[in-house]
Amino acid sequence: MENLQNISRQNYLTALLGIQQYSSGTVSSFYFDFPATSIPINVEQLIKSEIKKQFTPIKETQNALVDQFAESSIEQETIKDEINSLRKIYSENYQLKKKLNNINTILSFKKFEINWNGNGAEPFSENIIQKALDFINSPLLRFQPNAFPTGRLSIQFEFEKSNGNYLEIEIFEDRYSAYSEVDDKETEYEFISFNEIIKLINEFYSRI
Amino acid sequence: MSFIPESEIQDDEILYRAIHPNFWNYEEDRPTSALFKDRKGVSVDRDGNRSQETSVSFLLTDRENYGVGKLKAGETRKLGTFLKPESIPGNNFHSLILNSETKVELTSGKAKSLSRLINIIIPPSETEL
Repeated sequence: MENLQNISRQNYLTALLGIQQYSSGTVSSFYFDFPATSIPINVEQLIKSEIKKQFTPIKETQNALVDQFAESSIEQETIKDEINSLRKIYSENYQLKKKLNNINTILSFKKFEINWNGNGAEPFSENIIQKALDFINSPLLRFQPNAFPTGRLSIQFEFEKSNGNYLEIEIFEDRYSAYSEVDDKETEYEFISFNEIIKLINEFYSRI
Repeated sequence: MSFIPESEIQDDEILYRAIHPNFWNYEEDRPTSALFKDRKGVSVDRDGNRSQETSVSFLLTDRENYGVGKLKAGETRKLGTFLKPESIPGNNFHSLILNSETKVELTSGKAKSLSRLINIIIPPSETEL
């Protein structure tokens, strides 16, 4: 009798769920502990409720993970911003340090006496020292070069990149000149204006 | 073989160049091309059958903190420069590197090439500004 009741319950569930009945009489992996005499009318609701019960903690965990990920993304963005800000400060400090070094270097050229290079070079005039200082102090100059004196009464500024590209600016009493080696191409400018120099430097640093 | 100061500089000769401390890029640890920019031509000493030790020691006399570099005459010529023996009082080995037979100052390109070509024997000492 009990067996018949079981079979009837299984058939009912099978029809309701649309699950194919196996010859052995088993229905699915779901197990419902109904009293054989009182089969619930809305089993579907019960199944849904059971599924909901099982899925709720999973969903909660999922939501918690999503929230955690969002938080960590925000944290990552904040860290990235902070790194960029530190990089900017470092770069500005580096340029400022170089600028101070360059000012000191150029001012030291004032001390040069005749034959300072051992080959009869003349001392630098106030005018050329001032021109070199004006160049270094120009707000248009975003990257500080290295400064050197020459034995032809000029002050030379060198810009160099790690890829070997090179730019050289020479300040004379009455003119500026420039020389560059960019991607193995040499270019020499015997006369160039101050604005063209700034343009050359910016172009030089805008290249990858 | 005795050395004749005014003899033509041979391609296999060595030219020694004194390096003033201001002509050194301490950040990059190399000479600057400013080392080869001189109104009077680039002053060098040819070896004149002397050893490197003797030549360097002679060049550094009374030159405190200077460094020394060497160039092969043939390679220097290949850049299009003109080598002129020009002995001066007290130095029979003195010579000049000129841009050409008619122009003294080197172009920036030639100066840069020489700064890459020079072989450093002794780097200069960094001095206080």
